[in-house]
This record gives sequence, C-alpha cells and structure tokens, in this order.
Amino acid sequence: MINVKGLYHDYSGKGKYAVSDISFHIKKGEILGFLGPSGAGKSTVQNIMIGLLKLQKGEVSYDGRSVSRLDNSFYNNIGVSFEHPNLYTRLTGYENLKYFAGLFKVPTRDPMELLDQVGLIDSANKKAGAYSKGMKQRLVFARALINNPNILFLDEPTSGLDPTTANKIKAMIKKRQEDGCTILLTTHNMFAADELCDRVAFINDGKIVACDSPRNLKLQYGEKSVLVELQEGKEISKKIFFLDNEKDRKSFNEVVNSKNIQTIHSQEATLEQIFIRLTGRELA
Amino acid sequence: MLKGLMNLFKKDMIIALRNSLFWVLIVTLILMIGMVRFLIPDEIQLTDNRLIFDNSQDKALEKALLYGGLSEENILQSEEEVIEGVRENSQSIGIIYEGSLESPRFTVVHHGKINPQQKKLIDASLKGLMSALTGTNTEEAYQLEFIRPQAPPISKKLTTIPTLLVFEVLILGFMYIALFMFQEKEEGSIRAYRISPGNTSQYILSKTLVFTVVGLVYGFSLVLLTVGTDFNFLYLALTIVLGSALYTFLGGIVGVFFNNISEWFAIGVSLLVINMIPIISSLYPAFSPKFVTYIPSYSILLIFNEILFPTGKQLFSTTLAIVALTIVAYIACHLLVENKLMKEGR
Repeated sequence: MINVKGLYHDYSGKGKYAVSDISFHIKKGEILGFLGPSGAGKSTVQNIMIGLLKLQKGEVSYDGRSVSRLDNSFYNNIGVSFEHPNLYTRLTGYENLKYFAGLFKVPTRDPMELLDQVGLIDSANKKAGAYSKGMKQRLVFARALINNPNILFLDEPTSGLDPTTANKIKAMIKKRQEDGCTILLTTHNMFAADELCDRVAFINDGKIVACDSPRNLKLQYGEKSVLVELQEGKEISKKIFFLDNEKDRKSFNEVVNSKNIQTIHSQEATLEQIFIRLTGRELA
Repeated sequence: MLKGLMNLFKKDMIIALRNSLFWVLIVTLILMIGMVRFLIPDEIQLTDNRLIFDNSQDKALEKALLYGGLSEENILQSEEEVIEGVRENSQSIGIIYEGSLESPRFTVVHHGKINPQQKKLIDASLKGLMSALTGTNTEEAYQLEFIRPQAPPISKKLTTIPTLLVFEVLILGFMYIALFMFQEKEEGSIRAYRISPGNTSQYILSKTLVFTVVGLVYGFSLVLLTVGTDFNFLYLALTIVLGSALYTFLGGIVGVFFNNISEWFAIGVSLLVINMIPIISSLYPAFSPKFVTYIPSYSILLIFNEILFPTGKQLFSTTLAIVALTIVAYIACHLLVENKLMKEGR
C-alpha cells in the first residue's frame, strides 16, 4: 500500500539531514505508529508523505505510484490531522467542516454527524478561534475524516484531550481501521501507540531504530519475568521470577503449587522503556 | 471548478464580513459620501492676492481692474504699502504701475526667486492687460478650436469621485488579499488547504471575486449617491471589475513575499503611494510625465473620468491595455502563489 524507501531530508541544504535512510511500509488497513520524541523527524516524514515537503532523496509511493507524480486528486483519498490545529478561526466549527467538505470531489460526511461524534455538536456554531486547544484538536481530527479517506495521517490526535474524549477518538480511529483505512499515527504517547497500532516504528535523531508490532518489541526487548505477591503468614511478600532462568522457573512452579499466591503479573516492558533502552532518551 | 470556486468564495466572503476592518470600510464609505455631498463646495473661490499701486496720472489700470471685479482692498496707495502687504502675505504679488498707457513701467514685488517661465508669464499677462487698456488687444491674435464638443462644466465636488473610485475602491483588493494571506499563514489554514484537492486558481479567484463584489457595491453606492444615475452603468461595472481584479492580483504578487502586516507595511504602503501619483496628473493635467502614464491607476482614472463626465474621448485602447495588464498580473500572481505559497518548503 504505502512504501517509503531510503528517505532523506535536509532543511538547510548543507548536508545536515533531519531524517536519513528512513524505510518502512504500511499494509492496507494497518495502523503504523511513528513513535519518537519531539524533533526526532516524525512530522518531517509525514510532511514528505503528504506532499507538504519536497521529496529530496528516496522514494515514497502509494500502490506503486510515486508521491512526486501524484496530482491534486490524490488528496481526495487522504485525511490529515495536524498536531498544531490549523483552522479558519473566524469560521465556526460547522463552517470549517462544511467548507472543507466542499473542496473534495468525492462523497463527504455530514459535518454535524462528525461534530457529534467528536463531542463538538454543542459548539458547532461557535467560532473555531474561541475553541479550547482540545476542541480545536478534535475539530481538526473531524476534518481529517470529512472525505472518508482511505489513508489517514494522524499527528498526535489525542494530545491535550481528557481520557474520556481520548478514548472516543481512539474508538473512531479503530473504526476507520475496521473500514479498511490505512493509518499512519505519529505520536510520542506510548500508551496510544500500544493500544492502537499494529506495528510501531521508533524514530530517533531522524533514523528508525526499530520497527515491529508492540508485542514483538516487548518480547524482544523486555525481560520475561513474573511478579508474584505471596501470603506468608500474616505478611505479604513480593518475588520476581525470570522465566528464562531454569532455577527461577522451578521456584515459580513451586510457588504456583503452594497456593499462597495473592496476585501475579507478567513483567513485560513498556514501549517507553524499550525506547529508552534503544535510544538512551525518553519519548516526551 | 465553478462549484469549488463558489465554495471558496462563500468562505472568503464570510471571513471578510467578520473582519472588523471591513466594517471600517462601510464607515469610510458613509464619510466619503457625506463629505462629497455636504462638505466639498461646488466651486472653490480663490482669493485674489494681487496688490496694485497705480502711480500714474489717470489711474487707468486701477479703474480697469476695479471695473473687472478686483476688490478695493487690493488697491493700495503707495509703494511702501505694496511692499508691506507682500511681506505680510507670502502668497501675494505686488504690481506697481507708473508712466502712461503709451509708455508703461511695471515693478513687480514678490517673495523669493521666480523662474524664467514665471517671469515670462507675468510679462505676458501685464502686456495683455495693457493691450486691453489701449484697445490693441485683438481676439484674432489666437483662435480657440474645440476638437470635441464642449463638455458641460463639472461641479468641483464631483471631480473627486473618480479619484475615490481608484484610490479607495480598487485598492481594497491590493490590501485585503495580503491581509487574508497573512491570516491564513498565521492560522496555518493555508497548510490545510494545500493538502486538499483545491487548487491555486480557485484560491486566487475566490478572493478576487470577494473584492470585486465589495468593490462593485462600494463603487456603485458612492457614484449613485453623489453623481446620480446619468452614466454608463455597464462600462462603470466593467471598469470596477477589471480594476478590482488587477489590484487584487497585484496585491497577491506583493503579499506572497511577506508573512505579516509589519513585514509588508513599508513596501506595501510605498507601492500605494506610487500608485497615487496620477492624482497629481488629474489635478494638474500638464503634469503627466511618461512614467506616470505607466502606472495603472493613471489609465483607470482616465476611464472613470470619461464614464462619469463624458467628453467624447475614445478609451477603447486604454481599456484593452488594462485588460491585457490584468491577464499578465493574473499569470504572475498564479505563478508566485503556486510556487511561494502552495509549495512553501517544497
């Protein structure tokens, strides 16, 4: 579906690359998470992919067609939610969506229905300039869906949202995926990525350092350990068993058979811990 | 294409109407109409600043000038009074007449230096005056020939209308397209437009259409409420449309190079000032050096003058030149908006 190969970009033109040798692919209906801290190069890659930045070196293709050969009609098929809400502040939420719907040459969704889904129906006739950051974020997200896109580029779609609203947005993303939409999710929120993405690519200093499913990454880079809380008399004690270690595995089996277990948790690493382990820096 | 254009037009019109500067325009229009209708007089009375001392025996010059309507206040009784009068009023000129009709002698008292041309003009007017007094002045010395039927005299206050049409109505597009661009850059909404199927032509033309509609409403309101209805409506509408489009394209050409009003201000205002130079030619037709005729407002001002106060001038080629210029301006605007705004960073 989407192929990115050997992508480089140099803003200064002095050989200082913001991104270098970026390669990945996204299958139809897949959600690929682009995980990395601010300034890692995530938005640069997205901007090249949507044609906002010039393709300097490398290749980006959609179903085998290079991005540099795509015309304006390509935008009928994609939806983009920017990290920094870019709305017509003098237009109302409804007018923003209505106007953008009018730009597309494909069937579009009812703006009111979308506003309802993102929880903005009560503010539909309020000027976008008067929206809070979270409301603007939701409006930009709704705008990205107005043309029923086949490909979605979402840059920090849940940033600044309260947990309930963030869950609503995540559910809408999942629904789009079920409908066959291919999604590139750019974020530094490891929980959103873990929850939504089929695969994640870790990007640091303009380079992809790892790309796999969250599960595989956890298995590959996390330690296979189990945390057990045990009732020993009146005391509760905690024990960690590393299952790769035969002695620990034997002890773990004994504990399980002892029936003194209060709680048991697998000690898999979080995506953030893996990122830190791979890059030496935090995501936020 | 048309559906897309109308969608953008609707959006731009709403944004324009919600812009506070737009309402300033309405107030300006009302002020303009009020000023033309009630403040500017029909005729401007000039003060006669000639101070005359007739030191001749028969006082022939004094009598003739009084008979011709000169106020008695302008007739002085001594050379000292003339010098004192000129000293007190730097705009005045003193004329002392001595001798006789056969052998007149004039002394001219004035401030500062006068150039040879002015000297010759004073000389010629004094000679003309003496010829009239001695009866040697003959109308046959020159003849007036009118190449077109004489136009009726125009009320002074109405002569301001073509100027207001060019320098108030048409330049709206020049300023407002830049303001719209800056707003869209600041909001980032231009980036959202860039990743939509909308194209550069629609982007430019929708804004042009907004300023053209505003120009038509503004222009016709101004003309109908001051001049009346005795003019060629179609020709006026066509000229406002052409002029608004031309200035919007020119505004777009300049606007793409800047990010905000502060950056734009020096260049934008300088261009607007240059654009106003033809006002001088309008007030003093003798001032029309070649470079002034190349400024678009010069030709448009001529056309507006002819539409509102017809003299029989044929301005077809001038109108055609404005059409050609508008097309060239559109092409340049399209190329610049496409490459500097729509492909910024590409």
